Amino acid sequence: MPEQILQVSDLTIRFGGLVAVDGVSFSVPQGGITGLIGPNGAGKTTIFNAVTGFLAPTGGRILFAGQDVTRRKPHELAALGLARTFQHTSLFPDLTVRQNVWTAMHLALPETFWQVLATPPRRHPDGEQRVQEILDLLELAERADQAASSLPYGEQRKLEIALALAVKPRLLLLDEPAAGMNPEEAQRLTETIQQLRRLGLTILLVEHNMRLVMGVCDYIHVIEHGRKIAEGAPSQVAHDPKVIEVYLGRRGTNA
Amino acid sequence: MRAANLSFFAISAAALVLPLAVTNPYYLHTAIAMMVNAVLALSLNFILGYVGEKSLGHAAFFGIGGYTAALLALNLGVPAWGTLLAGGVVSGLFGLAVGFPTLRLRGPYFAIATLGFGAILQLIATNWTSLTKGPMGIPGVPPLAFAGLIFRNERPYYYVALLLLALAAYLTWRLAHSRIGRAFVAIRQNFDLAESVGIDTFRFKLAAFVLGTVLAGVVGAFYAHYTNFISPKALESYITLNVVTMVIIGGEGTLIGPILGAILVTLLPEVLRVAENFRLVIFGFILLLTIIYAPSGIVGLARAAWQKRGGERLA
Ligand SMILES: Nc1ncnc2c1ncn2[C@@H]1O[C@H](COP(=O)(O)OP(=O)(O)O)[C@@H](O)[C@H]1O
Ligand SMILES: [Mg+2]
Repeated sequence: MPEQILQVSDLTIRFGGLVAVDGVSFSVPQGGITGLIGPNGAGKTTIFNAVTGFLAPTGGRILFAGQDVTRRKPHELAALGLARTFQHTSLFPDLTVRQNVWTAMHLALPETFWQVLATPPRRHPDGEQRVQEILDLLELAERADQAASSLPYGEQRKLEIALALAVKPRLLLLDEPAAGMNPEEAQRLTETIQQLRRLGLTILLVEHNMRLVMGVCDYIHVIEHGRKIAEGAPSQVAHDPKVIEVYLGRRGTNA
Repeated sequence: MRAANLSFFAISAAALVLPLAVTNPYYLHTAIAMMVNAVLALSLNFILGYVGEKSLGHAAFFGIGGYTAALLALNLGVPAWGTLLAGGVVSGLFGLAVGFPTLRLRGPYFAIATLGFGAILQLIATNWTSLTKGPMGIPGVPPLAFAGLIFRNERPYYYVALLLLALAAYLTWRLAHSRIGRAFVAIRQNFDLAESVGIDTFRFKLAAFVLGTVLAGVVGAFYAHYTNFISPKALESYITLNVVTMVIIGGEGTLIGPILGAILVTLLPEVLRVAENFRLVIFGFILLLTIIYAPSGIVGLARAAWQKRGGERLA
């Protein structure tokens, strides 16, 4: 069995009276793509927020690379190699695409206050090269000098992934990266995610686009109403009666 | 870039020779006031402009610097220059004390705390008469001196003010183009994303704020020596409003913006020659117009005009 990079046990998150996540346990093995699916409001984003430190869980434990990281701050988790994207587009809107990635390289370019003030300005060739690699990987190089807010929607979503990659993640959490994309954009995103896998990245993916999920995931956990109702390989999960009921029982959910 | 360098050297050269050409003390005094304002505006710009946290008590740090210098010089005989340093350190410690508990919280806590701190300090300066001599202020703050030469007229103060401005501009310029400045801007642009790419938002907010309060303290100490006087007026909220106005109408989060803003805010009353109370109304009005119609200030307007004219050539 491969090493588990992320182990979530008995995670519970309450918002006042509402139990958004109710004793969920799952783990993410090193390498490959794990899916986290479920209808709207199931608690997927809330789980992401707890895992990445944006929310303090009410109960449960989160281990990252064997370390207990429950209640760590987001920036501390980033330093440990945990990166995420957000469900709603989240960029540095007024900065250019290149500046966005530069900014996200924060951890890779340590520079103290005194170094900044007391030594002449210097370039960071390694950093520059890494930024270029990331831009090339996500096919954003041609947009490098445009303001992030001026990009078409599909490319904004790719830029978000670029920012997460700049963190040099050991685990990348993607929250509905294809949301709002047209089929063509979603197809290209699928290819991008496949490529990330080939580069050896470990990904935890929340997504409603079932073609994407079934196409890229090695293993899937299904959440409904804050509880885990099923898990398994994509083909297994797709035939699980409970999952079929959740998805087909609700008219209209395009998931 | 070339044009920018050229104009930078031209302006610096002009600033250096100005006191040799201009002997009218009124003009020199206005130039000093302008530079003091510019340093203050740049000092507020770190937290308000780059990081985007509402700091609403900046005059208090200017005042702390002034009182620290006055009290140390008069009561303990601390020599000038040492008092400038002390003004910065004491002001920075107060900045740390205000920022440490409040900048880690999200929401209006920091804005409220700085606003309250400004009001409390003004009360203390007015009422703790045994220490501050109350509303009448402390007269007789000794002048600055260098190598046995006591600064008696405007000219040497002009050069000290210029030096402080150069220091503030250098700090701003270097930080803005560093990882630290990028972290500041990231926090303003998108707090959650900044955290998620590994930026310790609390630490950088605190650094921006404390750095600004140190600078405000130094320039406050300088001003107390220059005017030989410090009173609770130095901590009044209209000074904070002035400084906020400079930063916003000039262009927050830029190097040139706060300096332009300081020049405008210093000159406007001199030009308009209106009553002090009326100035407040005018500044408030200008501030409102700027926030509504030109949220990036003069620098933002200039950039937009530049892009319209030269957009093709730049692309
Ligand atoms: N900050 C919050 N405060 C209160 N309720 C919340 C908050 N965040 C999420 N919720 C609620 O928790 C539940 C799970 O939401 P979410 O995790 O966003 O679902 P999903 O991402 O699976 O669509 C929903 O009922 C949602 O309304
Ligand atoms: Mg969600």
